[in-house]
Amino acid sequence: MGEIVAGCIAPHPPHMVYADNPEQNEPHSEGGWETLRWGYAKLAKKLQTLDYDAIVIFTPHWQTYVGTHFLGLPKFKSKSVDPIFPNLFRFNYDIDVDVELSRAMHDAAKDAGIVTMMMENQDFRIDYGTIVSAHMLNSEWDKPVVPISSNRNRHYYSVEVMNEQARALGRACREAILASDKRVVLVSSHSLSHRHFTVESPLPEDMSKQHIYNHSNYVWDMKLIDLMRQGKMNEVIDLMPEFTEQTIAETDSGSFTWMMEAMGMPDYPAEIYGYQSVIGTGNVIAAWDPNPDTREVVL
Amino acid sequence: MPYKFKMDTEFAQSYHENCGKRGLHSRTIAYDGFPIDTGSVVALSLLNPGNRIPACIVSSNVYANRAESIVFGKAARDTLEAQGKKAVIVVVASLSNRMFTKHLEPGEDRIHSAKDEEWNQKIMQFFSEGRLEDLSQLSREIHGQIRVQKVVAYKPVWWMAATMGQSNNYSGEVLAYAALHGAGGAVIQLTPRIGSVGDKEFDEDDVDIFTGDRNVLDKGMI
Ligand SMILES: [Fe+2]
Repeated sequence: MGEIVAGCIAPHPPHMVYADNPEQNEPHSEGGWETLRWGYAKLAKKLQTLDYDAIVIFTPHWQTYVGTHFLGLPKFKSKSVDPIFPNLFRFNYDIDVDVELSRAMHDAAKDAGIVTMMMENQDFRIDYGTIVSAHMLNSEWDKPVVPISSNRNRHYYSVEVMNEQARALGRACREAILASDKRVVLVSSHSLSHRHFTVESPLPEDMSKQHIYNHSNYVWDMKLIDLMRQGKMNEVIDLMPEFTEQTIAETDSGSFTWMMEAMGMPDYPAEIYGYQSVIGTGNVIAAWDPNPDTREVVL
Repeated sequence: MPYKFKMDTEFAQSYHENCGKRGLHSRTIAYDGFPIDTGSVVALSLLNPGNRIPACIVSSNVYANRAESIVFGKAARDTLEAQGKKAVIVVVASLSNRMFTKHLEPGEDRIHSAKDEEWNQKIMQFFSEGRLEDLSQLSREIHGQIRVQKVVAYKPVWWMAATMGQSNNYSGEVLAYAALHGAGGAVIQLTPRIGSVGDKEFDEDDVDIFTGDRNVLDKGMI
């Protein structure tokens, strides 16, 4: 029987990878955003202690309008250039996909009445959200990933509809994982508040220029993190429409709601690994460990 | 879809500099592997086969509203005038943009709603009468009525009108109109002419230089 061994919020500003200088990324930096990167390093270390088979990532940067899409080919190899920050992120990726798990989740979602599709075009380019989150959590790339697209219910209907659809998808994915023989880590790839600065400093990693876009966004981010610490995830999901509207949050993708539902709406505290602004956006790294024996108070 | 396009980098560089002169923040992109968007690939492949004319592709700034879009168009016009170039302005956009959210066979395609259809017909009437500036002035209304709220405004018509001189002096022709998975797709051509259906008294401000957000709340104006 399958199992969800952890769930992580893994923000994906390309700045994370840029600042880390892995060999796969072309540009070179002098570092930056250590609070987030050191938090990532600690969470990555924890994941190394867990026994798991695949990383399932729900990404806001694979946006689909007709249903939810899943990858249906075992290998994707190409270069990902961020359309917004091509100066920071030109990453040569070589990704293994757990197609069996991907298809199982696709089929379960389809059976639940959700519009779905398997993406089986070998020229498909993997989005930078998937790559950044996966790289920061597992820079060895030694586990297969299963990216899930973000159906833009928010654009076509409302954040409330997004929340409901994401919950339905979360339930279907949970069923598929439990029915499989896989142990998986779930990843919700996004920032919290998401208003960007519209100018970039000459040196992008100049940390003297980094701060939250406005205080209102900061207060909202802290409110959510506080509820996460208390394990009040039902309350967070209830607040999601208001939070998403007020802070232009990247939770509009549905990824966080999806992950919480798939994890059975945790009522235990989240592990907080760090919070920092990147170009004005608010980013938290957090994890939910269903096992009380290994669950930690990190920060 | 495989593609290969020829860019007018001299124009792009100068356009970028002219944006700066009008208060806009811009950058030029020259990276191998940069993802050219599907809209540009489709439009350039169909309109300019064989790369007979070099092109310049510009992005849509998600945070831009009317002032930036108008000024951005004027910077393009500055560049064309300075370089003495004749250009074709292409806007890649649908009319109504609500698509069906379920799979659809091509034969089943239709405009998503009667309301979208009526607005599309009205927009095409304006285009066919050459009333580009009128459409630019109506942009916010069009966005509210028939555009899914993915971005803050229906910007393409602002940029197009500003680039083409902010007037109604065109001959317009709607060459095709069809549903695209529920959205309204039209191929429309405008060519300059002398005389027009007449300019109305417009209520949108004209703007030459972008000076940033006005931050009325910070200035205690309420
Ligand atoms: Fe993002």
